[in-house]
Amino acid sequence: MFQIFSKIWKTGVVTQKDDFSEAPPLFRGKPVFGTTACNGCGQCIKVCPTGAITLINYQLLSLSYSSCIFCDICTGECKTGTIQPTTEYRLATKHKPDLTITTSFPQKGDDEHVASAGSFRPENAAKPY
Amino acid sequence: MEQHLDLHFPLFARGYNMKNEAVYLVLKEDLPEACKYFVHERGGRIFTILGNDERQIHGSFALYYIFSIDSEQQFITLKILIGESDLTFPSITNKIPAANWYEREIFDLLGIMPLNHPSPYPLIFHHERPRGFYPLRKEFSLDVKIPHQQVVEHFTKVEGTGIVQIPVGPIHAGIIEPGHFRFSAVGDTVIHLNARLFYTHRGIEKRSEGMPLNQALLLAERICGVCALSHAASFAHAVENIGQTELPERARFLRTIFLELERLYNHIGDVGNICAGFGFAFGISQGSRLREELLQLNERITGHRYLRGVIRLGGTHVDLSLSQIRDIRNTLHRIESEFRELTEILLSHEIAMNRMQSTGRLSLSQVMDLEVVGPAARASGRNIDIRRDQPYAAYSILSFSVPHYTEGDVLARIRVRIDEAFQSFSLIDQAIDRLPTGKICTPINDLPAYHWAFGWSESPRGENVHWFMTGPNQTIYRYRIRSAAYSNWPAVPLAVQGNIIPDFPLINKSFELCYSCCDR
Repeated sequence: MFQIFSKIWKTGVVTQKDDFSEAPPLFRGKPVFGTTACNGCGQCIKVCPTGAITLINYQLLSLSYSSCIFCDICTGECKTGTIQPTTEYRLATKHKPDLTITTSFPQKGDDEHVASAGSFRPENAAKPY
Repeated sequence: MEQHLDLHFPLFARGYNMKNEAVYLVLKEDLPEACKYFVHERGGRIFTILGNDERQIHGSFALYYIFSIDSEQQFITLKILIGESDLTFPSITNKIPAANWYEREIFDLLGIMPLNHPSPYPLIFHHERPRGFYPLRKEFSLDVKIPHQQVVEHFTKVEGTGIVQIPVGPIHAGIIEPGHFRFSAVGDTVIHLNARLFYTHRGIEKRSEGMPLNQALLLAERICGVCALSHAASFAHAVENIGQTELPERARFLRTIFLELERLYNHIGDVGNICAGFGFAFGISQGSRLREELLQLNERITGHRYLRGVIRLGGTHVDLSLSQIRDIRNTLHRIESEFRELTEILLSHEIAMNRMQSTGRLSLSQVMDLEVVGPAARASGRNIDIRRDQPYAAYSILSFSVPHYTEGDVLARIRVRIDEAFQSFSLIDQAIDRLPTGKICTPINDLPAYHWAFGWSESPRGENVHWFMTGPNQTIYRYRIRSAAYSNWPAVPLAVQGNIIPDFPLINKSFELCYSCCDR
């Protein structure tokens, strides 16, 4: 009995106040579109296992947090660093469209150096599972 | 007998399967005899049994019976072909009771009927599903909605003066998964328990058909919340076995470290949870506090509390830096001494001991008959541990002992967990000491189509076996997941018999089984 009380006393209060400021640096939070422009290679659309990354009208690359499973595969594949990993875990919103983010997707032939990369076509995308 | 078997059942494709897996193509009518031979004379134990719709490949269904012969570190696969004209196979459940669920599942999902099965009731779809829907047949499309029919279910009835039936679930007071338990009791004493699971079957095996391997790995991680890593490791192991990919040394050690971290947070959390079975609040809160610290350690070193995203096909995705290794060492050192303190208090607490001792006893013969695995098996004297018996990752290099007891009660099961947790501390320590340098992932070789292999790992609840057959273009043709919970659930009703109803939560917790591992 004494042992139990002593252990409880020594442990003290372990609950935390609700100011969980930052997740640990390696935490896989929501991916975001950074400032570097997308080169249109479409690799992220191909590798996304849940089909959370889609192409709208060949113009906008869209990422939906309602289907994202935070596997971080897209951020590893993105050569231009357009999709950036973050440690952000606060995803709740009252406004559903907030769960989708977009960035512009270069069309084929827009620019000399992205001409070959921008040849992505939606039919090459993996089937969303 | 071996020679007789070799002559009798033509040897089939020994060449292209796993190097320690002998495959026999057996005629349907020889199956019971062959199974009996491998189980009773060669000391094999059922690893997994599955049915596969191979009509697209060679025109018939196939059943695979896989036995592990631990003493020889060998596997035996018996394959039988089932033509469409006669969709039946002889049941072996009368001789080998552990085959019960497997055979019923084959009928539920593939419509191949086990003949002379002693209890031929639906397992997965219960009774409310009309006949004729067999999801694992290839022509069954994913978007078909199976109609639901209202039925009155019948459970084994125990009759007599003073016997009452107490239905519990599938919706429970606590936050647990759905399961229906029907007690037949006299006063407080349980005479018989029916357990009905599979309320939330997710069809993961069907879903994975045609899925690329990398995506299937993510799916495997999501079979279960608390053994996510063991499932991922088992699947990756199977892929590496088909492609004969050699893991880099460092990856083998890293996998071992992460697998043991998973065992640790489970075992320490479970020791605390078992205390909830007798209302020992001190144990519950200390156990969950230590578990939380381990989960936060996981998050710090891998980015995920439940270790998802750690495994990649051909290695691991996460490497450990020196500062992280220091973090693991310091955290584990502190938790080890705190856990020791907790177990000393728990195991010297009179009321706790009184409640755990001789409660929920499972005898060795019951354990052997049902082929129970994991801590539940070792608590009843069945000395199996797939880490030692068929080593994977770096377990063949590290030294550890396999704790086992003979009492088979709740106390023995909690003791096995406590001892194993200390083994895990030591295993992580050794693995860190000997962690080689080098790369952590190697590209996997291309997999030939329509070949099969299986991978395994000892999850905190016992061994998980993942069997899969490749389809064309690096996809999955058939994926069969046999988790530890699938082997152990049938033992729970036996352990409860003769105990009082208030002890049921305690006994159930001492097995700490997973519903979602069954509801694949």
